[in-house]
Amino acid sequence: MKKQIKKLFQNPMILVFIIILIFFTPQSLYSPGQNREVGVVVGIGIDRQADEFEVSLLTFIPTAQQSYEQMNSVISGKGETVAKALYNAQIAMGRKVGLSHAKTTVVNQELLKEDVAEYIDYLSRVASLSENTVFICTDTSAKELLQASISLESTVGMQLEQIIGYNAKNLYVTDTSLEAFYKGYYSNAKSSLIGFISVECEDGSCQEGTSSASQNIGPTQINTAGTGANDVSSSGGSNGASRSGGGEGTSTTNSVSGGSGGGDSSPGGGSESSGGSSGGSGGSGSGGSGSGGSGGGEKKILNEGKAVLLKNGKLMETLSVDLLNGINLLNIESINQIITIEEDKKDDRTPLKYSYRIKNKRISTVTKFENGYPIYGAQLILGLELVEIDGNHENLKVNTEFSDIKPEIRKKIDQNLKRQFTDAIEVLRKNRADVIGINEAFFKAHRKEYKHFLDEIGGADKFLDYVNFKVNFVLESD
Amino acid sequence: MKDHISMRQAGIIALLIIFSNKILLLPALMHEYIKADAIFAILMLFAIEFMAVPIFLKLKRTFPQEKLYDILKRYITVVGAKLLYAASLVFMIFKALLIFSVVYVYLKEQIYQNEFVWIAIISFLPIMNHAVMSGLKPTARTMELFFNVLIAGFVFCLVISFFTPISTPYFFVSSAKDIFASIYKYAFTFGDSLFLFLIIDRIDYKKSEEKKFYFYVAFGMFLVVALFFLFYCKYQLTSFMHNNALADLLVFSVHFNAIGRLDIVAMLTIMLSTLFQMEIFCYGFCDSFVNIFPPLNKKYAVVLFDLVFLILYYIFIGKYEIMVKSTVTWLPVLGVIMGYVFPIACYVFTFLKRRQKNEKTD
Repeated sequence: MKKQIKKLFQNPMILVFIIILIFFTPQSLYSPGQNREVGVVVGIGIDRQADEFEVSLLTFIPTAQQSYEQMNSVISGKGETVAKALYNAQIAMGRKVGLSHAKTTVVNQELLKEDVAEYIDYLSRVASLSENTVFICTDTSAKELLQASISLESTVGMQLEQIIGYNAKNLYVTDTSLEAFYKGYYSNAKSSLIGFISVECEDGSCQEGTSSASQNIGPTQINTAGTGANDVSSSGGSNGASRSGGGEGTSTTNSVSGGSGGGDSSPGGGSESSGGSSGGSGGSGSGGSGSGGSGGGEKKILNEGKAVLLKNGKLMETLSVDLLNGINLLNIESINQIITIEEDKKDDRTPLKYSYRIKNKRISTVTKFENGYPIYGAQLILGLELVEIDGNHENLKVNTEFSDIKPEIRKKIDQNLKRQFTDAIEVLRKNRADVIGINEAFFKAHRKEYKHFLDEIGGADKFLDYVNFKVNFVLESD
Repeated sequence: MKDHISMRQAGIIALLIIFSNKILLLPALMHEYIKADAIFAILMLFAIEFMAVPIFLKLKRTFPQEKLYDILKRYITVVGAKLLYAASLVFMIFKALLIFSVVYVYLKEQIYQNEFVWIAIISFLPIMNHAVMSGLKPTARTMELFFNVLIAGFVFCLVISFFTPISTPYFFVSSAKDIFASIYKYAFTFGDSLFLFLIIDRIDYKKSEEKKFYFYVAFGMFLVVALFFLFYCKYQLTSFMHNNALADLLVFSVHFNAIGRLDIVAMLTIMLSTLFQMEIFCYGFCDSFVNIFPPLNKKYAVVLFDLVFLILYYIFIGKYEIMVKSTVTWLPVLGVIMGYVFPIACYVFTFLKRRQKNEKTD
């Protein structure tokens, strides 16, 4: 035995191993679980009001009980800078902030009045906010949106990033992550597209702004609302604490809502709220909703499929579904768009409304310079499926398997699509934002001429104004 | 023959040192300077590095059993040889420091800890020391054992990037002057073939296995170029923001992080390759030290390595940014000397030897 031990100690690595065990085993046993030290943040919101920032953290707190339970809370902090606000939120949480798992980043419109990259930069570079986080904008406050998302998850099991994920795949047809924002931000045109979700009160009575934290009741406010949602906010400076209860969730048509009331209301600014789907051409939908705790009324997440156009990191325009469809006409992956047109009035019969779905798409594009001007030519072969005929002829409503397009209808669809595209280009030109990659297309195909042209016009910003678009639609029944 | 390694093992070592300092930070650094044209700079740097392989093999054929120190002593005198070994000593320690600094920052992000440098140092240093004390053969054998796992992990990371939208990056956006300047600027992260020259007498050379050796070198270079290319295809304009190239190929591959935990594959691959590279550079440092001070053995060399490593890391360098900045300011001089000038000098030695031989036969 003695010999064996002696032999064992002849190997220096075993000695090192034993030393490591002696030093680190007690420390490991003594140290508390990481979730006691680090708060796992699954969503982060940044609000700006005047010169003050409020960072709200949607945190995930796993609790080990008889059954696995997940607690989500919104914790916020205010400060003169994003870093200071995050620091205050950290104090309110009582843990270090771990942003690596943050799946959603929400900013309010106020923040987008200036270059948002300046604020986000701190989070992504210093605070380890992952670039694959979904990056969205809201018209009210980011904090309210995060609060509303808690009950959305607990009632229908849907997360905020799933809603925006649907939009990204079907409407924006581009990623709406922080990474995608940066890609646009650093592109020639310095423009990007991010998702837009709003929060509205069911009865229209909730106040908007930067929500509960602005009341400054005390350094820590705790406010339980909705299904298991806690709201803790830190605003620094004053003393005291308060706690208020919340209610149970209810569900309404087309929306799921969680708790109502129980929160502290806040002074608000104006905001835009929304209606349902649009008429005319192109479709839109209103999505899921949930509610949070603060405010006077029940709060719902309203997803109308809108997006926000950014230029140099600043908000330029909120884009409707129709505009997004127009922008995405040249995108091969953008299908399933519904085009509704109305036939001309004949005799005494009520004109019928035809709804077609873009089932498939083939695109051929050509870029060239003619007489020194850029020409962007595109031929779009669209496979259209008649999905509904709305009118008095009830028998026609089921005719969805086989269809032919009448010349009159074909002309209307063509006009409709061209109008959509023209409107989209007009918006992009107005904002000098190229999110469809026209600059890149010319850069790739005619680099020398493109650069020369940019020198003449004074930069990539104005390039879209000079591009002559020649778009031809070939409509095929499918 | 106790400390001798086969040609295959030498090839694996060559591949591992080709990976060193190129799979995490370098793609982002180069992109910041010359955008996706970094691929051309990499190809040129690899072309230069690849030329060191036939020179190395020729030197081995010309001086089959001789130590590098003896060869140098013959042509550039003892002082010259010692000076070159001293330069190699500095080269090796800074290489090890650079790898450690870059990987430490990566691990810090991944493991979620603010400060765990002692844990990192305690994890690395004893293993490196043990590898040196055990000798080249057991170290190379360990590398051989884990080689397939490491390559599988590396290839997996590359393949996963195909599951997300990728498009060809824009080339020729930087001037030729900048591209050529980058060859000098990033010279320190290349030129690792020096290690092969240091262990030239401990490789069992077989002419029939030369192809195998070439294969490993070419394969290593191919994987690094593929990593650069796919990384730039994936991130394009924002490549400069992603400091952990191999790991970042995995992290953003799946939308909204649905299977984000796949990054463990990258982490293991990086850990394995880092450990082996650190062992190689620690061995290189100790070998150089023993040749400069022949009366002192490897034990002293290992202790000195640990001390210098810790002192440089904490007192002199301390900060990651300073280390990275050093690699593009004054360290390239060392990189050029050890990576480019030294192999050329070795080629001259083989030429001189042949001339001497011819003179004797005449």
